[in-house]
Amino acid sequence: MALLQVKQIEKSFGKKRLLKAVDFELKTGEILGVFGRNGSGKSTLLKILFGTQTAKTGSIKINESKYAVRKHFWNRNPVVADEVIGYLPQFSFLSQSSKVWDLIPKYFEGEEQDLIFRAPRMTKIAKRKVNELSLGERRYLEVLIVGNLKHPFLLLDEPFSMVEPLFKELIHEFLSSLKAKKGILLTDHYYHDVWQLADRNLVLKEGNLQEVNTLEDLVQAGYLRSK
Amino acid sequence: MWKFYRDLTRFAVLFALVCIPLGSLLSAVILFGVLGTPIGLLMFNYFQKDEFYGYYNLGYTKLRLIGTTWLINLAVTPILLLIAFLILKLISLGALTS
Repeated sequence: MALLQVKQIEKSFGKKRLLKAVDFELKTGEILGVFGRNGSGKSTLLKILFGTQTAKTGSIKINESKYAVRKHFWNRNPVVADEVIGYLPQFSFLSQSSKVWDLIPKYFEGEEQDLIFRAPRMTKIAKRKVNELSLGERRYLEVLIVGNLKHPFLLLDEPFSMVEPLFKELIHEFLSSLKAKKGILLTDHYYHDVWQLADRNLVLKEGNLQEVNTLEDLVQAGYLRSK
Repeated sequence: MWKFYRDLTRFAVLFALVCIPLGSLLSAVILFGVLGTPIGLLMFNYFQKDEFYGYYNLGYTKLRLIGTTWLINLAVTPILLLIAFLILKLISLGALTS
């Protein structure tokens, strides 16, 4: 089992303190849901953990390996170099003009490619170019790619955004199957999906992470108006 | 990695080709080696910035991607210079013209 410990992440934009000493833990075999209103800092937090956004303070510990957050853009990014965390950004990271079956070998070698090519509904997707896929198909493909890479931890930023119910079901099944070997941090405004999948939930409010146990807690935190 | 190299260098080559009429073939080759990579990076950032995340997920940092591309282009420059020099020499000797 691997354990990700996040400590004292602080981030400000000008005078606005977006994240104030954020702490949490995530272990493999667990899905952690993170809720928060638009602009609350969820995506910024994920980028800081992945090392593509700088922060004022904070550290990340994975088992015995410690990674300080990047304080300046010229600092090294050991989280990326050590391949300990995979990250699905809100936007598409795939080369839009590439055919899917040309793209997969860039991420996987040999038989590993079957993890993608033999996934449900991939036969139809694989023949087309990325820019010819529907939003749902593209998101499903991206989740499959990031999920099947070797990182022990995954940060998924809006994996259900604009995804039709059939693909949502497939993503649910895939993430549930991944849970056995990975720790997954999931954030999405399609909160029913996150709530259904997550083992624990947190809400990011005024720069702090609070634990939520019921949907009523999300109402109390100002994330939902009513259940 | 090689896709990144290809994508970025495509812009660098375009930049060098545009420079030929403004200077000479030799200066265009030098500009390709020295300034081609940063110019290519600017263009990549403009048109394909989001693709960086695909490389990050594969363990390539931005520094490694850009550094490797720049080193390769710098290493290739003397060979390109030699070829450009030979072409110019052949032209001056009339070998490439009737």
